[in-house]
Amino acid sequence: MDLDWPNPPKFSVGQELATLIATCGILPKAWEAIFSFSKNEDDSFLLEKDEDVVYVIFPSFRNEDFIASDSKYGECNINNQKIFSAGLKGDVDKPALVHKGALNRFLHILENPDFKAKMQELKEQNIIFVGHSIGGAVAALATIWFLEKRLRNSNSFCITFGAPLFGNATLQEAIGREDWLGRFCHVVCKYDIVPRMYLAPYESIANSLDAIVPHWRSKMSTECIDVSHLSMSEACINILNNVVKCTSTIANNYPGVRSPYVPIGTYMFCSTHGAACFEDSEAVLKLLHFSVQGQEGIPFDQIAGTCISEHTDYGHMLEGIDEALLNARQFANLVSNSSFEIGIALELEAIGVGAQDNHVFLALKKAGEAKNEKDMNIEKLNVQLSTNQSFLAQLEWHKMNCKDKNSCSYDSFKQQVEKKDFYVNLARTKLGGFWDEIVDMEEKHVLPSDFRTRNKWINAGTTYRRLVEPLDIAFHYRTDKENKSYLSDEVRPHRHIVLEKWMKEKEQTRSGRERRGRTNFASLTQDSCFWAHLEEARKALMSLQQGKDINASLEVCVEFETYVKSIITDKSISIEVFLDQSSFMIWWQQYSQIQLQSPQWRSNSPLYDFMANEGCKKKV
Amino acid sequence: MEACTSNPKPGETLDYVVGSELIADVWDACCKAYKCRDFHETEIKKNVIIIAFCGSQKVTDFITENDFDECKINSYNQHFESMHDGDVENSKPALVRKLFLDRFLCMMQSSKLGDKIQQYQTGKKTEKVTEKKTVILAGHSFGGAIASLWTLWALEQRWENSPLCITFGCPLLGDKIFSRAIEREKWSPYFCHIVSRHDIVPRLCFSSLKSLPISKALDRLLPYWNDSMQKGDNQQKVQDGSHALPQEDSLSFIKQVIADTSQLVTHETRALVVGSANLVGGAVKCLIKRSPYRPFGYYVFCSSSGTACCIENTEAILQMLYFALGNSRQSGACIMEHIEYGKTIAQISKSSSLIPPCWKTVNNEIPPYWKKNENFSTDEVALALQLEAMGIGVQNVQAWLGLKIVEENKNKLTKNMDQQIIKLDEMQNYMAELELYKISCEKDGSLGYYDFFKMNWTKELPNDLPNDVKWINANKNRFKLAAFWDGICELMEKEELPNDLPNRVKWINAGTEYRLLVEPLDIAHYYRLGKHEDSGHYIAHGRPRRYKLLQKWLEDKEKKGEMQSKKRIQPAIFTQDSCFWARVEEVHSKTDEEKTCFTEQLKQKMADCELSKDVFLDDNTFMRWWKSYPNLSAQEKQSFSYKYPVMLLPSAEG
Repeated sequence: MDLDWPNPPKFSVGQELATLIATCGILPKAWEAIFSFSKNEDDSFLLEKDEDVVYVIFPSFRNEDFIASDSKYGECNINNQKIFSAGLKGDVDKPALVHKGALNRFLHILENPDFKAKMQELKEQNIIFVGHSIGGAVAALATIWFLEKRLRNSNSFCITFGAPLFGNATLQEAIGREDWLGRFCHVVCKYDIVPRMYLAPYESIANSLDAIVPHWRSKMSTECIDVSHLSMSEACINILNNVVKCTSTIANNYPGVRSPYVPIGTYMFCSTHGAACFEDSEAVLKLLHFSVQGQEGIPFDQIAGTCISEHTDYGHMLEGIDEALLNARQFANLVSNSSFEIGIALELEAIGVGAQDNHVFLALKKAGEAKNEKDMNIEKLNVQLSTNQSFLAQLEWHKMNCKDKNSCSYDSFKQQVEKKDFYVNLARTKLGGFWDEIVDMEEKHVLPSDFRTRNKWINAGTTYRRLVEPLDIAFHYRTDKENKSYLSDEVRPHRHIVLEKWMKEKEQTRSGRERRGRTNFASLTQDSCFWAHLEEARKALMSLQQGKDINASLEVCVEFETYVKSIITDKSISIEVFLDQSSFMIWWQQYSQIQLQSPQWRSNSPLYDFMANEGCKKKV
Repeated sequence: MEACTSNPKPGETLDYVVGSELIADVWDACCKAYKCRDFHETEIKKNVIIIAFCGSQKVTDFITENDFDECKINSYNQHFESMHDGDVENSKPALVRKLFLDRFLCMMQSSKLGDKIQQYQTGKKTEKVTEKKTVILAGHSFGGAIASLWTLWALEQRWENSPLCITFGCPLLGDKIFSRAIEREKWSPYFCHIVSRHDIVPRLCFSSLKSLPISKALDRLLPYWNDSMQKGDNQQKVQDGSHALPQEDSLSFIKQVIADTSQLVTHETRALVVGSANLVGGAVKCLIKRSPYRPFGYYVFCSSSGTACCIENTEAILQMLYFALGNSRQSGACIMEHIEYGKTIAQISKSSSLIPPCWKTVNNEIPPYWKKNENFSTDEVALALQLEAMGIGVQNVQAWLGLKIVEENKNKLTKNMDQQIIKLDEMQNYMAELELYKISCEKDGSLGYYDFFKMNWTKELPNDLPNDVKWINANKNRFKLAAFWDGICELMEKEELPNDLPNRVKWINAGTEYRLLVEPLDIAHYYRLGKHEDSGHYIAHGRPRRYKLLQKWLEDKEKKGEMQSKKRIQPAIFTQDSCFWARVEEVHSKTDEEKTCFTEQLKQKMADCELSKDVFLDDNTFMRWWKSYPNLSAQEKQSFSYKYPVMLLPSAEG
C-alpha cells in the first residue's frame, strides 16, 4: 500500500472540543454544585445525582492544603500509603510524584468509610469527579483511584476548575499508558494564577498565599473575612512576579531547575473571546506562561489583580463562554494556506493569545505533527504486522511438520537436520527485525502512549515470543562459543525481555477477571524461555556425568525438575516437549538413570510419577 | 458499473422539478394540503401528479416519553426492510421519529393511498388510470416527514419507477443508520429537502423535546404556524414573528437550538478528524444525551437573496445546518422563514442560480480574496462559493474549515476505495493459485483439496510438486487473502469505505468467490489444529467475521431480488454452502436425529446441484463418514451416489 509518509496533519480541532464541552451543560452544573457546596465547611465530599450522571464534588480549599513545605515544590511519592497500584511508575521504577496537600486531603477522605461505601454503590454509573482549586487536584486523584479499580461498566470523568498542576511526568506517562488522559478535563481561566503557581518553588509563593487564600475563601463562602486591600495587592504582584519568573524559564526552555509538575489531561483555556482545548503537555506549559502576558497597555498590577480574582470567578466566565464560542470569528487575512495552521490560529485567537505569538504556535504545531506521526506509525505497523503473518505461518507449519516426524521444532532447528531450516531461519530473522523496530519505536516515544497496553499488540507480541524465542534460543546454543547461558545478562534479545514485561504488566491489570485454568496442554509452551532452562539443565547433567561440581550441578537439575513439574501442573507446557526425539526426553532418560541409583529419589521426585506413568504419552 | 437505481436518473428529474416553475406548483399544493385532513392531490401538466401532505401539528403530539421521541423503524410494521445497519449478528434497525411513523402507519391503514401510488407508478390498468405518471410526494414542515416516509415505502417496493419527494422546511426524520441505509441503497436522489437559511424547524430535532425553552416556545409557535398556513394568503399573514412569541422566550429558544446544534455538529466534526479515539470527547459522549437524528437525501439551502446550493453529503448538510443558522441571531427570521417558502421560491426562480451538487465546474463570482490567492484548490474555491451563496461568507473561517473537513473525509473514502480496488485485482492472482491447488489436489481422485489441506495425504502425487510445498504455498495465499478481506471488514467498520460497497455487485461476487474457495481451507486448518477441542466447533465458535459478513452481503442482495441465481442444472464448481465441511466435521458429535436431518439436507442440496464434485471423492472426510453411517441401507447409499451423475467422472478418468 502506498501511503505517503510523513504526512502533515490536516486539521486541528481544539476549538470544536471546547464547544462540545461548553455546550453540553455539564460545566455549569458542576460549577453550581461546587459553589453551593463550598459554603459548607465540614463535609469532605458530596454526591449529587442528576438524571443518570452522578457528580462527586470535592471542596475548594482549606488553608492547610496549600501548604507543603517538606519539599521544594510540595511534591511527594503517590504511593506512600499503598492506596494506588504499583503500576503508577515510570519505566525505570521512578516513582510518580503528586502534590502532597492534595494527596493528604484525598487520603483523609478515603478514610471516611462513608466515602468508600458510596463509591461502592456507584459501580455501574456515569460518574463525574469535580473539584475547584485544590479540590480539583483531589478530584483528579480520586479519578485515578477509581479508574484503577477497572470496573467494566462504569464511565468516569474528571472536571476541574482552576486546579493546580498536581503530578509529574512519570504519573503522566503512567496515565497515558492506560489511555486515561482523555478522562481529565481541566477548565482554566486565562489569567487564573493557581494552575501555574506550583511551577514556582513553594517557598517563593508561601507568604503571598497566606494573604490571598482567605480572600478566596471569603469569595467562595458566605463567611466574611477581612482582608486588607493593601497587603492583598502587594501579595498579588509578588506572587505573579515569582510565578512568571519560573514559567518563563520553562516556556523558553532555559536551563535550570524545573518544577516536577506537568499538565496531565486536556486543558480547556477560557477567555472572554471564547475557549479552546489543548491536549499536549508541552504546549500547555507554554500556554500557561504566554497567556498571562496579556496585551500591551494593561498595567501589570491590573493583570495581577485579575490573576487572583479569576480564580473564584468561574461562574461568571462560564456564562459568557458559550455565547462567545458560538460567535464565529471572522478572519480578514488567512494566516496560512494550511487548514491545520488556520485551526491553531483560531484556537489561539479564541483564548486571546494572538496568533502572532510564535512560541505557542510552533509548540502546538509541533505537538500536532508529533501526534500525527504516531498515528501514521501505527498504521504503518498494522500493515507490516499483517504481512509478517505469513512468516509466522511458515514457522507454525515447520512446527507441525516436525511434530509429524516425532521431534520438536526446537531440536530440529538446532540440529539443522533439514534444508528447510534455512527458510525457517530467514523467517526468524525477519520477524526479529520487525519486533526490534517496534520496541525501539516505543522506547523513542514515537508510538501512541497507550501502544503497549493495546490488546492487539500484546497478543501479537506474545504469540511471536512463544513461537520464535525457542528458535532464538536454539540459534544461541548452536552458535555460542563462550558457553554463556542464554538467560545471563546481555544475551537474551532485548525485544523478548520487553515483550514479556508488557505482557506481565497487562496481565496485572487484568487480574480482576478470573483466568480460566487450562484443561489441555497449551499448544505453545507459555514460558518462552523453557528451552533455555533445559539447556542449562543439560549442561549441569553433563558435568554431573563427568563428575564435576556435583553438588551445584545436582541442584540445577533438581531445580529444573521442580520447574517442569510446576508448568506441567498448570498445563502451560506444550505436549511437543514429550515427543520421543525431544531433547527434554533424552535429558530425562539420562538424568533418571543417574538418579535411580539413589533409592529414595523415586518417591521424592516430583516428576517421576508423571513420566513413568507416561501421563504425557496419553495426551500425545 | 452497476446499475441498481430503477428510475433512470432521479437527479435529473430533480433538477427539472426544482429548477423549473414546477416547484411553485408543488408549494401551492403543500399550502392547499393544510386545508385537507390528510393529503391533497392534483394533476398538473404532462401526467405529473402531486400528492401533498398536510403539515399541521397539535401541541399535544409533542408530549412524549423519551427526549427525542425516537423508535425503531420496524416496530409494528414490516414496510421498511432495508433500513438497518447491515451488521452480521444482531443487526440494528434504524430509528425514526415515532410521531411520524405512527401517523404514516395510521394513513397506511385508513386510506387507499398505497394502492393509488402503486397504480400510478406501475401503470396497472384500472378504470381511470391507464398509464404511468410521474408522482411527486410533497409536504411542508411535518407533512414533509410524512411524504418522506411514503416515498421510502414506495422505494422499498422496488418498482421500476418511484415517486420523488420534495419537502419544505421538513424536520429531521431518521437517525444515522437510516441515512446510511438510504445512501447504501442509492436512494438519496429521490429526496429533496428545501430549507430556507434561517428556518428553525429542520434544526429543532437536535434539541431534547423535554428542555424547557423548547417546549415553552413550541406551545405558542405550533398554533401560530398552523394558523398562518391554514389562512394561506401569503400577503396577509406576514406579521412579525414576535407576535407569536415574546422576545425573550424566542431568544432563549433560539439559543437553546443553536447550542444543541453546535454540540452535535462539533462532535461530528471532531469525530471525522480524530476518529473514535478515547479522548475527552469520547468520555463526554457517554455522559450526555445527544439527538440521534441526521439528515438524509439532497438538501437545497436557500438564502433570502435568492441564491441556493444543493448538498448531498450528510456531514456537509449538518455543517451547513449549523453554520447557516449559528452565525445569526435573527430570531424573527428563524420563525418566519418557516412559513415563507413561497417567497423564497419566487426569489430563486427569479435569479435561478441554483448551485448544482456537482458544482466543481462553476467558475464565476469567486470572492476577490480567494481569487488572489492561487494556492487554493478547486475544491476549496468551490466550498468558498457555497458559503458565499448561503450568505455566510468565506470570511467565516470556521464554517469553511468545517466544510473542508467533511470534504477531506469524502476524498479519503474515495482514495481508500481506489486502493482497495487495485488490491482486489492483485488478490485475483492468489485466488487463481488456490484454484490451481484445488484442481491439482483432485487429480488424485481420492482426496479433495479439503483433505489435502488438512494434511491427510497418504501418498505424493506423481508429476507434481511435493505435497508439503504445495501446502506451504496454499497457506501463504490463504493468509494474504484473509489479511485483505479482514482489512476490508475493518475499514467498513471504521466507516472508511463508501457506504454502498456491500451493495456493489462486483464486490459481492468477489467476496462470494473468495468465501466458497477459501473457507474450506480455514475449516481444514481449524480441525487440523484441533481447535474444536479447545474452543468448540467452527460454525459457532471459530468462524471468522469476514466470512459472516461476506455471506450477509450476498444474502441481503438476494433478498432484495436484485441478484437472483438461476436454477442449476450442473453441479456447482464450488460447494455453495461454504460451511459444508464444518458441518461434516461436526456431524460426528451429533445425535441420531440431527444426523438424519443432515442427510435430508444433503439430499436436498444434491438435488439442487449445490455440492461440488470434490465432495464425492472416495476417500475424503465426508465419504468416509457417509460410508460408515449406519442408519442408511447400502442401497440408499448407493442410490445417493449414483443419482449424482458426476460421481462416475473420477473413475471414468481413472
